Amino acid sequence: MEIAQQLRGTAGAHQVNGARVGIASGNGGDHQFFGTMVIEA
Amino acid sequence: MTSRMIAWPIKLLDCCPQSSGGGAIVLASEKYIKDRGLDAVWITGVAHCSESYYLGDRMGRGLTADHADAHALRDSFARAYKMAGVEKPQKQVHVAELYAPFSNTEFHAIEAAGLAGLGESVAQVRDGRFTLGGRSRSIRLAELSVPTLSPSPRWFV
Repeated sequence: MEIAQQLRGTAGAHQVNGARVGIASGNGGDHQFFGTMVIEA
Repeated sequence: MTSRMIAWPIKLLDCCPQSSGGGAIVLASEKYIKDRGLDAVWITGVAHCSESYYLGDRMGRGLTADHADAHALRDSFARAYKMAGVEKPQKQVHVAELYAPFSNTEFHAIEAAGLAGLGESVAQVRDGRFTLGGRSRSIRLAELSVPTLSPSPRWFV
């Protein structure tokens, strides 16, 4: 969600100027399951 | 650093708090988005990878295990990057949101994402490379904010 906000320019005070490509990761289990995503504006 | 020890070397404030929350996203086809002229961001790469269940079986790439490396996370990023055409993440990635439930796992995530070389993330974090407004320009990560879902709510890339 944060990445989507960043790429849309709606991240407010912590907006990264010019962000066009973002990545996100999530873990589950005992550091066992990993999901990753590349998101672009 | 003065918080009580949970399990060496992890201290209380190295750990994410117990909490519950949720988020939602709406996914739509490219045609749907474009037909309606909607403002959207695009998922260009997605991947998943799992480690074996037992810690002792996570042998990594060599003959011995190195639990400082997150091999499955690295593989997951590699697959997502390949799908998205990202070959040089340090140059091509502008912002990252890396899940890090414990302080130490931030370093795993940074390196697995290819945002720093193996073993280099600690020094780079200390150097402010992954801090919003930090001085590194070569990878523009200092201008990139990455709110990890970590116990420390600092911006981090």
